[in-house]
Amino acid sequence: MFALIHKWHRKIGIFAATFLLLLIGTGIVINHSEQIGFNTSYIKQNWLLDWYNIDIDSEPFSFAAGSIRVTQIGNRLYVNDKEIANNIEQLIGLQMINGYFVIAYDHSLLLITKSAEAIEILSGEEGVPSGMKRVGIAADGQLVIEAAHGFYVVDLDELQWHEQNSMQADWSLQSDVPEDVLNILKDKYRGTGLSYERVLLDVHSGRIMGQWGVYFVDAIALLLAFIGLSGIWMWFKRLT
Amino acid sequence: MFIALLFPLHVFAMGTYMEPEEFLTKTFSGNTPSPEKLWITKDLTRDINEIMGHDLGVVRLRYWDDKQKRAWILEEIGRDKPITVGLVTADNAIQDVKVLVFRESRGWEVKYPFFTDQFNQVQLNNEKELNKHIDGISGATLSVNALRKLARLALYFESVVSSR
Repeated sequence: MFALIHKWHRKIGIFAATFLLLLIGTGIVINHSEQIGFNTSYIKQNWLLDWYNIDIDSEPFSFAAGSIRVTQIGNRLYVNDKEIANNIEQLIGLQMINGYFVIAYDHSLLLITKSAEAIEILSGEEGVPSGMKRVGIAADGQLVIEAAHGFYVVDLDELQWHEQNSMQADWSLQSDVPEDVLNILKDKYRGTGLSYERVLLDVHSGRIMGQWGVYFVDAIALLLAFIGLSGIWMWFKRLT
Repeated sequence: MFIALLFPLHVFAMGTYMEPEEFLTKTFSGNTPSPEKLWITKDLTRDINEIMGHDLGVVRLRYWDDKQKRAWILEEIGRDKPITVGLVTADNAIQDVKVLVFRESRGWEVKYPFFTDQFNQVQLNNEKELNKHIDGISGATLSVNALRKLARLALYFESVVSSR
């Protein structure tokens, strides 16, 4: 019995130790992933992005004004090819006013320069009306917002919101994303879709190989438990 | 009870605890003043970088001032997502801190008064650090750090605005 246990202890030990090193390595790195920056560093390898099916899952659309094109892909927002937000729900429109640009999304207005530098973000607490539907420019050049409860003529500098019953305006219109821009944005979208930390977690748990990978890691864990128990058992046997 | 058992706790922990508008209404007892503008100059950007470890990404910030106290609505990322916090300052000290929106799946314990009340009457020292130790919360280190930074930032802005 001792010889049999000893034989399997050694055989399984060599096999399991290989995976134990992998688990130790990934485990230590995961514990310190924030300090290393692995939670904010992203995989660029296409084969791995393909393995995870990281791709655009909704039809991109955009608004254009002057030199600026703002595009929503999934929950990310791009000004030309620069990502400026990653957790938005709905891009509503874009207007150019007084030399800068106003991007309306969700419950907010983002003011940017023509070089896509953010000036400020305005939300409900600054008076942005709820239920924004579209943004436009009135004949006198003022910014107009149509929201759930009516129309608002906006002075963005003084933050005054003048409610109106109805308004004629040159409304921001949604457009398709040009093919060349879309290809650039697709690469950028995929390039920030999968963090190193996510891959490490999945390697550690075996999930990177799907459900069978998890069962495999479970099996390795059981083998390691056998190594531990058989080692203790043999040690006691030798003592006696 | 049954439904609560079906969902992980963090599903209930994430979300909007108080709308920013409600925070302002309560802070100013229903008479919320018009927002003021704070321009983020180069000098301010340098100090903001020192406090936050990064710039704010905007050049203009709004705050609310009724000449007795000032309200700031600021955001900082805890781990992955921004935490929106309302802070009230007066006489270079913090009067109130409220976590308004919490989007992370962990660290939401920072919303409780047992944590936020620690900031009351805290001031900024010459090194732009808080003059009182703020106890952390196990498992919420990054959220705690985010709130400490925002408290320092609000006090810094308070000093900038009050010195004008």
